[in-house]
Amino acid sequence: MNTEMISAKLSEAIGKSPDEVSSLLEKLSTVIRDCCADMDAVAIPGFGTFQPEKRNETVVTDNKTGKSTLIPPTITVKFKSSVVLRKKFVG
Amino acid sequence: MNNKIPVKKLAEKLAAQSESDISVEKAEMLIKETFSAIIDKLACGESVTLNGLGTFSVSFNPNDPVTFTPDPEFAAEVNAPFSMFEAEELNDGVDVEQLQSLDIETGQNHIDDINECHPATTDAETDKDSSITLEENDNESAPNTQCPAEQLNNVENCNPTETQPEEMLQNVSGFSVEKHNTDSSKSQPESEPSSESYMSTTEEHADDSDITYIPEDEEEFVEYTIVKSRFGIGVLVGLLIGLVIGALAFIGYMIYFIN
Repeated sequence: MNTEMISAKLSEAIGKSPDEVSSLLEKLSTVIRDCCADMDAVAIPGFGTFQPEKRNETVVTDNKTGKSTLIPPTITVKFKSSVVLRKKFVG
Repeated sequence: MNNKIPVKKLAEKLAAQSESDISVEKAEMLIKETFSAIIDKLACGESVTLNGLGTFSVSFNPNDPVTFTPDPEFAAEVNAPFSMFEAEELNDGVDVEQLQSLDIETGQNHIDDINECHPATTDAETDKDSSITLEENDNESAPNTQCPAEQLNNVENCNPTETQPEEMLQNVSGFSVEKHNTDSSKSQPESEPSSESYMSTTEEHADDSDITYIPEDEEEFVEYTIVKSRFGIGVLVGLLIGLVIGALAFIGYMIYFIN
């Protein structure tokens, strides 16, 4: 399932055309991306939280060759499922 | 930064940024309906992809039943502050603790250097003249412990704008007497204070103090010469243009009367 299928499904509920809903969904993605780029977490009730996390630099050593590599720090987006979603799937 | 954005605030942002006129309530309803539809599809075992955001899929992990894989563009945008870094292979014999201690030591040394060069000064200290401060420097028996910035401040305290250059030279030569005496008590015999002795002593400690005296006079002189030369060139050019215009007017006048 992709954005077009979701927008077709939501167009009746919102009262907008599928194209408008599709553009709104793209805007929604942009808003969530902007929030996460500012290191803000986005909480969707009943679904989960998009949480950007910073991982510090680490040194990884290859046991076979003995070479050490310095891995730079990174920021990744983690998704944490809400309790409602977990209960729905796990039961 | 490090805030938790609730769905209402998200809806406000979406309503503000959307091109189509949509209310905050409608935007909030759109967000809730969207993720509700995603949950329905995930419950059917399908994976859902939102353009620009990422892919949601079902996993068998009971602690995290839904996994999210961000869109590559999204991941790059979030990691933009560290995107310039790359993994570096360390040389043999380099230890992690060694790296950390090196960073701490160099940073602390740097801070110590800054503190030495810029100590907290009081008004009483700034009122001292250059001879006193440099004499203190000699008493510490540590050559070149005073940083150039501090030496520059000491020289500026002489107020060169208020005193004439000759008086300044006398003040400085007075300093050289004290300086020379302190040096002579160690190894050299006494000699008369002169500008030469000042030059010889300042070469050891403060080369910048010489530089501060001379450029002020030089700058004034250079500015004056530049202005004078421009004025001369302008007069010559003006005269030439005036002559040409006068000649043309005279020729035109003659042609008019001949005809």
